[in-house]
Amino acid sequence: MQSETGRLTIKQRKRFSQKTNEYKSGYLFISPFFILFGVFGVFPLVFTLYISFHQWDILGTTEFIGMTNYLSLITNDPLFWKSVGNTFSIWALSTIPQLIAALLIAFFLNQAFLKYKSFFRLSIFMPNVTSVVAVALVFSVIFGSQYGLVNYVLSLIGVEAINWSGSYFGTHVAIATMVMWRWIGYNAIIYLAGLQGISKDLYEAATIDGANKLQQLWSITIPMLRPIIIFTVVQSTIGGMQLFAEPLLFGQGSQYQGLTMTLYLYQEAFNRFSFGYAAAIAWMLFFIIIIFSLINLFLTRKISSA
Amino acid sequence: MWIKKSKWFLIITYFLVVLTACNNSDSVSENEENPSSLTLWAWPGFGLEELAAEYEEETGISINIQEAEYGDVHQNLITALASGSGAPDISAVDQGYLDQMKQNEDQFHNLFDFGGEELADVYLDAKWSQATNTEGDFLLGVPTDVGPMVMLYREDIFEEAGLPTNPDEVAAEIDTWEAYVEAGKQVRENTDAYMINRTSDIYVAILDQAEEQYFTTDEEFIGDKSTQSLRAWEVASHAVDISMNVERSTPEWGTALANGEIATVLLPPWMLQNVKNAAPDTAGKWNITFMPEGSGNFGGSFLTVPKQSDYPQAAYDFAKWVMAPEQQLRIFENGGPFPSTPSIYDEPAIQNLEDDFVNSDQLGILYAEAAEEIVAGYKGVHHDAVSSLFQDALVSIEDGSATPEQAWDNALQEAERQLSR
Repeated sequence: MQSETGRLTIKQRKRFSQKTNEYKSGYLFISPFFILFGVFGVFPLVFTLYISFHQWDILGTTEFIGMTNYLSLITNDPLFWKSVGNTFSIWALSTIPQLIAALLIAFFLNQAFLKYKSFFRLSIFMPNVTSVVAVALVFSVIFGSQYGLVNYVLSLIGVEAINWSGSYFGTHVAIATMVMWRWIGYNAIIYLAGLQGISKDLYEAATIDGANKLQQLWSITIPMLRPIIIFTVVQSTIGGMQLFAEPLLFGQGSQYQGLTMTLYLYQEAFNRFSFGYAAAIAWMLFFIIIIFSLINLFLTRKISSA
Repeated sequence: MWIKKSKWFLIITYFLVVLTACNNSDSVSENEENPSSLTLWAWPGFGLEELAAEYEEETGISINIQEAEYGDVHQNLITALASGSGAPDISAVDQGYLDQMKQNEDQFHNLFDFGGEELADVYLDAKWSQATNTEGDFLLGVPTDVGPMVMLYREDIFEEAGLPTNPDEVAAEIDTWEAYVEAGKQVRENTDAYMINRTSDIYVAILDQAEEQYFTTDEEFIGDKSTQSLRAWEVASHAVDISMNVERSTPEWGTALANGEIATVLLPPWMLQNVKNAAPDTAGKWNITFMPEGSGNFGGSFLTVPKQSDYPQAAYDFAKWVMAPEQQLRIFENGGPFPSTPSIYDEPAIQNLEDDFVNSDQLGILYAEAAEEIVAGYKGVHHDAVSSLFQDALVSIEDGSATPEQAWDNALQEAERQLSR
């Protein structure tokens, strides 16, 4: 009896230690990801939080100043709130038409009568793989105030030249256009993938019932695409809130009408070397994106279930 | 057993690869006195490659020049200094970042410790006073080039406007900034061209002509009351009518130059190349003369030796040699920037300088005279941030989104807010 239990314990212990070994090697196998994630993901995140409570010009000393950075950001920084407003304005100007256009393009690309489908799909996706710097440079020339293509075309139909880089309207539209040009195709391809997951039977049944294309789009396609739409809305929200390269290259303008939140963050850190303040902006950005994404999620759920 | 061994072998190899990948830059030679190589950080345009090769032949020390974009060099340097490793033996620092580096003197070797005193009379006074701290006991870097401001103008447009075209006569007629604005109005009335691309370019040029600009040497903000700050604003904010409102060095600027729609460009010698690139077909239509009310400095750097360098003496020796008058002359002859050493201003290469783009046979003499007129203005750490606020404010007047009074208030308010943080 005693020996038996003894053997059992040894057996158990043996099995147990082998299991531990397996755990160990398992952790070892996935460790490269976690090490890299820790170094480049978690550490900067925590460190940013830490320095956001300090005044730090990177070379000099670090001084703890508590919530001062956050307080002056919220109460005494018109430029920050301007950048928040600009970001939302550009986001709305780019994302809403963008997603609608992408949905229509995807719906069109999914039609049975369309020939050369692969060609169109490739073409619509092409802008997304272009370098954002090249896009911004080309669009800056197109939206030039003196010799720009857009102003030339406008002059042909008798519209007065618009100072694209010198007015709120001009700068927001120009930047939103760049964003749209790059991301419509991306979203269209995602929608297209979603569309192809919808069973053909539904459309056939609808056709037999006498529903036209528009009714099909409204009553079958959009409700069935709901999860995909939510995904693209959340994605474009996160992307739109972090808009940086386009305004940087197009120019923020004399009234800072092109100053977005991340551009402001960058300027604080790397032009004015207020790293503590920039870190505080980064955390504000984090909260704003979370809140805004939740609102969006809520709204898109409501709209598409209505 | 062999499984275990190979496992450990794999782990160790993995970490070794990671470590060596992170560490491959630290191939330090054992000899403290004579390094086999020195690293130098700079941005394009210094023209040091040929001289570095020659230096290696003479001394056996190879100079490893690592180039990056202008902004990146400074950001990389600041990051390397902050993290305590990775800084080069020698780094170029532009005058725009100079005061920030001076505030952190302890990050750099004081070049007076390596014989820097011998350089005191080699360089322009303005350059030398920038290179040293206010007390004059710390030498941060060896001066490189200088960017004396002059005025490039279109002879044909001036003629059409009824202005003189001979450089001496132009300089005599446009001898104050008020006269410049008046001449600009004449250009606007009689031709299709604008006098200048943007008022902010006039503003910066005027601001840089005095010792006292935005800050006193105690870092007190005087941008709201210093004579030069007020005067620069006064002239520039009343020059909106003669300005095209196009940013310098953009495609629009290039088109405007090529179309002959801009009559004058206020520039340092190195920027002439930008004009050539933008508007090659306008060659021969330009001439150069003095800017109103003296020169100014745009660009120009210093070769510093960070504390992290293991061979400060060797680094200093190279910097001293490569920026000595003879070498600066050679850099200039090979199309590099303008030398900061007045002793070679009499050399034929400068006195007889010619350029097909410009109808002047006095080009080098003009640059040299302008260089000697440069005033060593005190900038301070926040100079560039404040300056860009006032420049933006001027553009907002040109954009028609603010009156001069509103623009001034906006810029001042924002400057004071940023400085109070």
